[in-house]
Amino acid sequence: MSNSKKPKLGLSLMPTDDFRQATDELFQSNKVNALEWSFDLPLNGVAVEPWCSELLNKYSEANALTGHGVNLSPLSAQFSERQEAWLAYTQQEFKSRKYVHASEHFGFSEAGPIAHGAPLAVPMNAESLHIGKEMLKRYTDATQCTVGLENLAFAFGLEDVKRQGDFIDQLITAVDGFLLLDLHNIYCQVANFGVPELELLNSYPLSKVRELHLSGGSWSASVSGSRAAVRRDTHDDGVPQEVFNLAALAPKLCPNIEFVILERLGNTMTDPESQQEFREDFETIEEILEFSYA
Amino acid sequence: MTQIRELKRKKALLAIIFASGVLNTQLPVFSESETQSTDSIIEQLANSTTISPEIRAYSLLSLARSYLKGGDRTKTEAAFANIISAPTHFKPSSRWHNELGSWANQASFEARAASSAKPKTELHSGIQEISAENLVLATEALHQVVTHLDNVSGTFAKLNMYFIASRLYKRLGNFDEMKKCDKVLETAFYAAETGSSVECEQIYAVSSILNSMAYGLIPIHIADHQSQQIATINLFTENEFKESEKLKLRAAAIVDRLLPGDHVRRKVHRDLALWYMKLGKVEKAESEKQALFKLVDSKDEKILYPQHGRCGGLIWWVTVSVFSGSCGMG
Repeated sequence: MSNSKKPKLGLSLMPTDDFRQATDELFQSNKVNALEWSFDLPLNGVAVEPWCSELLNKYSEANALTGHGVNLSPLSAQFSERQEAWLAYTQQEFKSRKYVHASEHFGFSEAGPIAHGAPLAVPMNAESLHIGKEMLKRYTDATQCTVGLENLAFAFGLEDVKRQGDFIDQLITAVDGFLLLDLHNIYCQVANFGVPELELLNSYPLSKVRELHLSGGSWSASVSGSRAAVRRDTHDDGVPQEVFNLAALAPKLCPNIEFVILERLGNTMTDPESQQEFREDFETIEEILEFSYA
Repeated sequence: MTQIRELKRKKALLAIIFASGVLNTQLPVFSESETQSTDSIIEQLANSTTISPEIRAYSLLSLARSYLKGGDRTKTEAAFANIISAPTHFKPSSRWHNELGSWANQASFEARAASSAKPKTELHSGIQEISAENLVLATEALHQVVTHLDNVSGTFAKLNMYFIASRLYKRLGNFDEMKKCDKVLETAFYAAETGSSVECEQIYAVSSILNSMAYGLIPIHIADHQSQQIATINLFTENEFKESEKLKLRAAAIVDRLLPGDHVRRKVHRDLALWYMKLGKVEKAESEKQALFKLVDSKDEKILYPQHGRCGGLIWWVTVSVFSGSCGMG
């Protein structure tokens, strides 16, 4: 069993009705110990309704609010005006609310007309490392708190999969940052590249993991036909058993986990069955943590 | 073990057992998934009672394609064995129709390329190099697909899979089986054109297949997003153009049975306008664009391209800017 302190179990807040319906019971029973907020959603026109603001303020005051940026695109080749505006917005947001830490995704997520795609890996060379370090320093300056990077679901090849952990380690070390270990993304790479989960996990700087993400995803057809299907981190379904398995493994490997966050995209659980499934996923994680930190 | 017994949730229990197994033993944790069946992977997929008819047919079709592609057969079959060991993971996603449509395009192109006398390019996946054993296995998998296709619910999936099976049979040179699949498709085309009460999904399916057939003749993709460079394509014969156009116009006529506000109807006309444009057929492009403007009730060129929606989603047929949230996926 782990000797560490049990992490706070929380939810990624979605400003949608289905999320509110699905989670009301969990919030009412005080089971949600932390809240994660993709604080850049309003930059894309998302309205933050009063019930969301109330939750954000409550968790902020309780020192249990984490920030998770989505659209910075930290490893974009050029520092753009859009990123500059994003950082300025972030600076204001982090002044107005207290966050424990801030995370973003490894890789880039804008290219040509595609500005909201899933992040993709960059060539892991000295230039990318320099660009990434510089951007993490800007992110730290803007948030005035510890920043971290999340591992990716996608990879262009096995070499990307093998090298990602070490490259992220070099990036976060530059700002004394942390690794946000997304277990569904690990599962995507296990499923898509056939890498043993333990071997893959051990390629990451596990002592620097401060936060875990758990979610579901979906399978897409393989264009090449070389595999049955491709696993994608689409956050639109329940948590698969393989990800729960990784959640039970992580506490044994990562001694410094502080937050465990369950994610599911808004508007993907509009029926009562999927809302119930979401609550059950949450309670399953709760049980795994209770056992692991007993 | 006392603590393990106290776990109420089966998923949590399985996870704890998994984690203990990974760290404490070199033996496989789930020995049942390691059990080797004496049945072939084709038989296992065909006879599995745990997978849905859609996934069964789709998996067998994918397997047939993989056999035709060649490569390491052991690895391929191991990948497909996962479908049987974790059937609930392999369910049609929201992108199922798009994926089938893309595959139908590719299958159409590859089948024509394989039978063409033109020099092969890297995209032309001929079957000359495939082993005799793989050809036998591909045929066997395709027979199983066709056997199970009638149980597939959803006209779009079913007809597209018939089409893909037809093209794979063509690549195998098995024209009798190809014709059987084509007959199913022709019946569906005719019903969509003349039926007194045709379901929308049938119209969507046949128009998509007709466009895939056209793609086999002139393989150009009409992207949703506006390209930075508008390049015209001229690597086609006039006969290929006429045949391809005939198929596209047939698809357009069929979707015109739908209401003016139907997305697929609008999209077929929009893609046709851009297709003409890409082929340098300026007058025809303009005429088709005007037909689209009438459907959308707008003459703004912006409607030719969508706006970004949530999670890579697209918002079509609007000219004013629409805000949408990001999805936050990693």
